[in-house]
Amino acid sequence: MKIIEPHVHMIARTVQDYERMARMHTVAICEPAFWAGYDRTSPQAFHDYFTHISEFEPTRAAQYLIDHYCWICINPKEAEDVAFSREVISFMPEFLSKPTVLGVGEIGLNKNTRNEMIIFAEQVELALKYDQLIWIHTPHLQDKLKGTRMMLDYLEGHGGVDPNRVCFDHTEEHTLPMLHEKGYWTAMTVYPVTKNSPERVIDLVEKFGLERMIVDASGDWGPSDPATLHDTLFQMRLRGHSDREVETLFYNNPCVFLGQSGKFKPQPTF
Amino acid sequence: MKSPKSAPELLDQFYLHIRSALIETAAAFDRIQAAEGADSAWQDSRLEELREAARIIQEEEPERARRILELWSVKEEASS
Repeated sequence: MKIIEPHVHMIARTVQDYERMARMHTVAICEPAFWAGYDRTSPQAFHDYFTHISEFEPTRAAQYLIDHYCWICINPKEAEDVAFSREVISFMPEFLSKPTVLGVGEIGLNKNTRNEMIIFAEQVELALKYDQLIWIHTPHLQDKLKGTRMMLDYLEGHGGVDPNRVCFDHTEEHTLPMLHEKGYWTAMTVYPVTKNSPERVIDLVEKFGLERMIVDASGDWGPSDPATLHDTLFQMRLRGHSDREVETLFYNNPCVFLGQSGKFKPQPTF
Repeated sequence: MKSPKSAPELLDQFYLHIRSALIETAAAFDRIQAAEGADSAWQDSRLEELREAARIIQEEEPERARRILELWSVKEEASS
């Protein structure tokens, strides 16, 4: 069975992670643009970063027979400075046309501030203007519920956003239901400590079904591990679910959502 | 999409995991209480939230995970 990792920051990982993922049958991965663990000192640093994830990282992945895709944006943790963010947004279109860029992401909120919301809205508009998919980061810990509601309210009030072309990531028990009900895609992140465990992800799948559900490990520079995605696949098998259901969650569903970009090559198996 | 496993099967599958999580939690509370500065740490609102979460676990009402996450979320009226 092939696996897709819909969210991993390979710029922060070693080639050993590519090798491990390849051995665990991962055939495609997606790298949303995000914070580097420190604030970048100029908009040009983002240009370099976007070049890295859209040009260099695919060559690293290809050595392990993995297709590497990415998303482009000014991330919410660095979106507080509106003027700075707008400079970054000004050169995003040149990257959106590249062959491995799937859309605008991971945009969203961090501390749920007014400025973060302004930049979130402007990037939604950019995505609509260029007919791009949208990948959304929901805030961490105590800010997640409020921030998720703020973004959902904005998108629902907008009137021009197709929920089927938007995925909210890092959802948990208190945020997934409202998004699922409105027709958005929801991704559940499996982390060693925070976010979800493999067991909780399968609990949510059993409660809400497979439709528009995605799982990722969101490996980055912090405590995280790409193998938690495969731990979750194993948990689903341990819980008695069929191979067809497992394949739907870990391969076909990401193929369906990401395939809307027109650039994602893997195809659903059924 | 219901669980293919029955409740007794799930209890068998998860009993030791639940037991482990609870004993680790109890030991962490003991560790904090035994350390220097325990009096001030014992008043930390985060510990009270953890105690409240433990109370939710004991209730008969379902959706405990969702309710605990909501307990740990900033209140909607709070503005950033």
